[in-house]
Amino acid sequence: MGQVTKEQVLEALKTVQDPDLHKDIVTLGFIKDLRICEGNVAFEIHLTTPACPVKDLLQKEAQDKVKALSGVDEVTVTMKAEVKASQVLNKNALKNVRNIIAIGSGKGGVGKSTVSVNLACALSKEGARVGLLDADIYGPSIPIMMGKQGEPMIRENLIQPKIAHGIKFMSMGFFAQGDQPLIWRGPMAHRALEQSLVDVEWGELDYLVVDLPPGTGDVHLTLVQTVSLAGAVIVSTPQDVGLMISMKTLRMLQQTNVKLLGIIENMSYHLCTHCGSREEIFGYGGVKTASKNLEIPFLGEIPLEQSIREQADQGTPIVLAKPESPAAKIYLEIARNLAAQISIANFTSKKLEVVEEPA
Amino acid sequence: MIQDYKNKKEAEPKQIRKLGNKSLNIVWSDDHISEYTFYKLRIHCPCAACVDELSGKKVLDSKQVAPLIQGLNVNIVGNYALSITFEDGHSTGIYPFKYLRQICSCKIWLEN
Repeated sequence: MGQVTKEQVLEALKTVQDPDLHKDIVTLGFIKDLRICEGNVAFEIHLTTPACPVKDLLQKEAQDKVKALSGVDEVTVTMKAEVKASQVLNKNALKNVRNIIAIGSGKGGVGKSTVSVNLACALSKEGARVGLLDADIYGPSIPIMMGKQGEPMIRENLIQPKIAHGIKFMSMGFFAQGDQPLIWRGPMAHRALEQSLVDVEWGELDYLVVDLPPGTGDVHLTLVQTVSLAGAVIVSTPQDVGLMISMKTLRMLQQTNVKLLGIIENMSYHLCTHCGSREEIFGYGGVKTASKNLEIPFLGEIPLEQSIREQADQGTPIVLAKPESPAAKIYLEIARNLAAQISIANFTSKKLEVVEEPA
Repeated sequence: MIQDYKNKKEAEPKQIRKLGNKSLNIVWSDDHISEYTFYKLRIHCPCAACVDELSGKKVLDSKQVAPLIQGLNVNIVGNYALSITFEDGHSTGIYPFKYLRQICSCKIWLEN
């Protein structure tokens, strides 16, 4: 039996499709470092995000397809990830931040910050380099949820982000003294957000998650005007009044051409701690229906659970504190869905720039 | 299966070119081409100093703008607009792509 050739292996791998990008993994350029030594074939698959929801599936399919070729005894597939930068990101100070994702809501109190913190932790757990910016000037809560407070250091005119659980984070709360509120008019909020984005030493990041204040105020406007977002995620509770207000934030983002990466239903249901029966406190499924009508991806539903709140209050998000809990698994799945949506968006978006030409 | 979000109604530029300091050329995603002199852009500035915020009435007197005014700098704002610095120092206007398409001299695209 003759030795298998590289062409034969690539031909076989061409039948493996990425279900999100709708192209085969060879055409997408995912296959790297293909080596053949007699009956042993080894190659790497470079995905567009370490949080790929179909990572295991692709690995198995590629392995099986190659193994089925005649003359192949052993197949070694190494999975790697290289996060593609959002094409539209262009601010110099953030040049090493590949994707900025805004997490917004209409109403306050729907759990935006809890969701942001857990998604950031989930993405980081999957191997991505993650930053987190708490842009909520009214209720900056991320320092508590990340378990690290106090003022950040400044080095060479750049704010040094705090690091907790492997995540770099910055909070508008750092601009306030202790338990004092931030009493700012628009221009102050604008300047502070700009600083938190541009004057922070974020370094190399795959994802920067921005936790927005509720509504559609100064902070939102500054964000969409200062940077090019990879996209935004809306968090909503299922009841009508919450959803209705979420739509306003959604429309604002649409008007400023921000890609809507998806909607998350938070406080979706509650499992009774005594009898385990399911209670749908705010109603159920409203967000999923809305996402269908608006043709925006539905990223998942998160239950109302005491341990999610407790872990956030204690400074170790549930994704890290209790990785085996159902809630942590749900967060992980949502993070993977989100990462997939970002990869899809980056494959389809074009870079826009102003070209200067002589008249 | 998660679907891709479709929002193609907005005007989306494919290419933006600044031709010297004289004019701005935009090729849109439907291949329509718009060309604007910086004079036209200056007199259509939508900022609060040029257009009254409440009434929408134009405050800027077009006669005060030099007919051959130059554009010094054009930057992209987020994902949705341009900001322009003019020779007279004015730079506060944010021109959403949709607005730019609306003021295109072709007048074809008047819906919305």
